Formats: sequence, C-alpha cells, structure tokens
Amino acid sequence: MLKLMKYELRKTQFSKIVIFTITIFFEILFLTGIYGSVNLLSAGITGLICCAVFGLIYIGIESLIVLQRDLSTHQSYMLFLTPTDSYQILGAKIIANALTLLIAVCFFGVLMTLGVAAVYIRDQGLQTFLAAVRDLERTIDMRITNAVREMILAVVTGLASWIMTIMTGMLAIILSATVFAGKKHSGFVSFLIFLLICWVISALVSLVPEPSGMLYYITDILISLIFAFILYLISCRIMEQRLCV
Amino acid sequence: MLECKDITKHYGSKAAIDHVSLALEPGHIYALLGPNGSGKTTLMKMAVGLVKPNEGGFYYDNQPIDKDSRKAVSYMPTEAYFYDWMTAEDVGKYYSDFFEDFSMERYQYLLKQMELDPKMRAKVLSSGMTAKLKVAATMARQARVYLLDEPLNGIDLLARDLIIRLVLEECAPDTALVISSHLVEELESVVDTVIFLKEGRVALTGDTETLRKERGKSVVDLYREIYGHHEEAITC
Amino acid sequence: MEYNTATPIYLQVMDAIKRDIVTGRIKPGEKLPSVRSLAVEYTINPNTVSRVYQELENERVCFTRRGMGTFVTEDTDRIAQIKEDMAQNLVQEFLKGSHLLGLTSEEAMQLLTSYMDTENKDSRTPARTT
Repeated sequence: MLKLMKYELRKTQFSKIVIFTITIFFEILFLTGIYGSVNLLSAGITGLICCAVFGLIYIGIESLIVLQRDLSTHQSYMLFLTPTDSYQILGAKIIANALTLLIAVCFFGVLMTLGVAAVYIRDQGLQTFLAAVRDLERTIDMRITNAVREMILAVVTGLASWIMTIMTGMLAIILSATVFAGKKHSGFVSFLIFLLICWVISALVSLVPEPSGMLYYITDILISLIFAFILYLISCRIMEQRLCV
Repeated sequence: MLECKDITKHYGSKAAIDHVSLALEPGHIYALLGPNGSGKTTLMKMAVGLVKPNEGGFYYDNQPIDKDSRKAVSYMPTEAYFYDWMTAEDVGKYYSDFFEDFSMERYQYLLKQMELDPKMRAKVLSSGMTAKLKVAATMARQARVYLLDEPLNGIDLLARDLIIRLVLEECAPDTALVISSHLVEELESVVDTVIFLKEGRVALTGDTETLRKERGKSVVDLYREIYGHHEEAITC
Repeated sequence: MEYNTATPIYLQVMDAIKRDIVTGRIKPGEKLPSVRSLAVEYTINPNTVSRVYQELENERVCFTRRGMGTFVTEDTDRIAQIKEDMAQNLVQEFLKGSHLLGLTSEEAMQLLTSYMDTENKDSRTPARTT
C-alpha cells in the first residue's frame, strides 16, 4: 500500500508545487513588508491568507478530483491492473490525502506563527519577545493548557469531519462511475449523490443526543470516524464487486 | 490454469458474453478472434477483474480470480492508459514497483529494440509509439498468462515482427498467451489454438493444424466462413 | 518462409528441413536448432516445431537425445532414401497435374523430353557478347 501512496502523492505533486510557490511569493512580500512599506505587508498578509484558505480547500478536494479522473478515464487501468484490491487503493488515497492535508495545515500554521512572532518582534523588539516566550513557558497554567487542548480538539474534530466528507465524496464518485459508467455528466451526478448522502448522514446524526463540554468534541470525532469507516467499507465493496472500467 | 465457466455479461439488454466456458492450457498460444463487438475485450477484461460478470466467473488455478491472480495473469488493453506525467522510464518503475515478475533489464532492452526514448513523456508519444510502449511494459513481465488485446494495432511492420518474435519466445510449457487481433493473416502460423467469438458465444474453437488437416482451411478461410455474409447476387 | 495456410504447416516445415538435409545444407549428424530457435526463425508456433521434430523422428530422419537436442541422422543410406522418396513425390505430383490437364502419361513424358531438349539447345548456344 505504501507504493500506492507514493503514486497518489506523485499525482498531486504539480498542484502542491504551485501552491507552495505562490505561498512563498507572498511570504517574501510579507517579510519584506515588515520592515518596508505597509502596502507590501498587507498585500503579503492578504495573499498568504488566500493561499492558506484556497490551498487547503484545494488540497482537501484534490483527492476527489484525482479519483474522478482515475475512474472515468483509461488511466483507471493503471490502478486496476495492479495486484491490489479496492481496500488498498482507497485506503492509500485517503491516507495520502490526510497526510498531505495535515502537513499543509502545519505548514501554514508554522508560517502564521512565525508571521505573528515577526510582527511582535518588530513592534516590541526581540528582547521583549524572548522574555514573553520564557514567561509563557514558566506560567503555563490551566487556562492556556485548556485553550491549547480545545484548539487541538477542534483541529482533530475538523480533520475527522473532513475525512468523513471526503469519504462521502469518494462514495458518490464510485457510485456514479459504477452506475453511469462512462456516460457524460457523471461528475455532475456524483455531486448530486454526494449531497444526497450528506443529507442522509446529517439526518442520522441528528438522532444522536448532543452532549456538552469536552464530550461534545469526542462524540463528534467518533461519529465522524465511524461514518467515514462505514462509507469506506461500502465504497470498497462497490468498487470491488460492481465497478467495471 | 485460467478458465471461465458459463460466464455472462450484459450491457443493458444485450449480452456481450453469453454463457462462455473456456479453459486455457499452459504451453499454448491462442488467437481470440471475432469482429468488433463480439466480446473479445469484455472477456479478457473479466479475466483480470476489470469487468465484473453478471453470471459465472473466471478461475485461476481453480480459485476465483482476485488481486493475487493479477500477479500471474497480465492483460494489455487496446487503449493508451499511462499517466500523462509519466515517461517511459517512469512506466518501467511503476511496473517494477507493483509486479515482482517485471524485469527492468528486459524492459530497457525492449525499449531500445522498439526505438523508444526512455525520457519521452507518455503524453507526447504518437499512437504507434504508445502501442509499442504498452507491449514493452507487458512483455517485460514474466507472467504465466498474457492476454494481449490487439497488440499489433497501429504498429509498423518491423515492430510487428519483433512483437511476434517476443510472443514466440515467451511461449513456454508453463505459460499461455492469448492474442486478440484483426490481423488474422499475421497470426496464422504463430497460434496453435483458435477461438472464434460470435455475438458473445464461442462459434468455433480448435487446434489450427487439425483444422487445416480436417477441413483444408486456413484460419483466414474459417474467419470468412464464420463471419462472412453468404454471397447473394447483388441486384440493381 | 511463406506458408500455404490451408494445409498443415508442420508438413511444409518438415519438407523444408528434409530438402535441406538431402541437398547437404544440413549435414548428417548435425544438431538441429532448439524448438524455440526454430519457432522464431520460421515464425511458427513452438508446438508445431515439436510436432515437426516428432514426425521427423518417426520417419527416422533425425533423432533426439534427451537434454542435448535433436540431431540429423548419420545414416547416409536413409538420407538417400529420403531424397528418392521426395523425388518420387515430385514425379507423382507432375503426373497428377498433367492428368488434371487432360494429358496422358505419355503426352506428359513427351512434354518433358522436348522441354529438356530446348533447355540443352539454349545452354549450347554461346551467349552473344557486344
């Protein structure tokens, strides 16, 4: 499955390079702008935020774009002629996508943190900044730990929910490719099926009582992952037993 | 070795393959013949799981085909299918990553024989070069069963001679090759068993030399007999 | 080699090999190519080659030594006999063809001798040099 993942990452290489290059461009604008003109700074910040938002969204959906291409063109033979089964193929796609997304989130997160630190240093000076950091380390108390914990939980919840969304998308594409093999507008049909499944899932989820506090996040993550897993199993089964390329 | 029992595939109301049973034996080269739409490609695709049958199934070494049987049964599609961003070299690495029986040396040798540049991208290759690349990648494997779908299509004469030579070299007591082709004449002396598909069913199958002896007909003659329209006077 | 694909190919290959043997292109006792080499050389199925060697062995034209290959017989009398048989076949084919044309055997014989005379006359006439 590692080999499958290697090629899944290779398939999305071009777009990642583009996003990275554009981000670096705006990062340079930003860094130049810190000690230069305010215009450059704001252009840099705007650009970076755009890159982060659109970049992350695109990386997230790209796995669906690749799957659609893999199933609806003759390039499907590349995957289906190998001695691998649907479980491995889809599993590799999801893991590769999740990994890429995680790295991208960290990348933008680091850029953002460094950006904030750079501005802070410019305003308050390096000494004050280092002092504040040492201060932070010394006075890590409950409030900050809680805030950090909430933040991490929110990110994980988001990631789990995203995995479920992607899995829904994959199932929709697979269903569309299976039933409407090769016919036109199968992409559009995939989208309709996707909306349908989302609606069904949200209807099912609303049946589950909503707990409060920390439990809210845990339940959310569990529900997302359980649904994602069920969707994964259904997708694999349909792909393995019914899909013709 | 590889066999199908009562296998059927519908597309809509039409049966592309209608209760076909065949058994492939090692050490033979088969010709799978029939006009467009007779079910040749569908049958081959079902043997490797690209198409799922409605009834019956394919069995490799008495087990239903699955991902593991694809290690031994290799199918070469008619269409171009390599990823756009791949060079011939990348194709070799891909095959080498997924198929244990792939020989990079043999692949490079075949590329040279077919005058293909390893650095050229699949996207810019002409149809003839793509056809040769497909054959090179497939025949660089040491599979037990080769299913070649129109391997001679769009290929120049000298490369066709080379491919036929590869097929003959690959034929061993433990391997089987199935070639589907429109170029029946070129395969006459190369295949030893012929399978004629007509409207999804096996119209005739048999050893070519026996057919020659008993009927005094070549494979081409039989083809015309089975699929040709019986001559009627054309009235103006 | 061009084949008549309406008749068994193995018979045609057998004839070709026998012809090579009786004309001396292949020497008595010489090793014949491996099944695979012959298959590639003649562009024929390896099973056909196996059949050729099997039948040749049945006719005592060659023999197989396990693990070493197939060899032409060293029996020169046998080779002479094969030449004789093949020549007889030619005669039979000629007469059969003549009969199909409506000629009697005597007329066919006449045709043959007069053709041979013409051939001799042509070879005696000195070539014109300019």
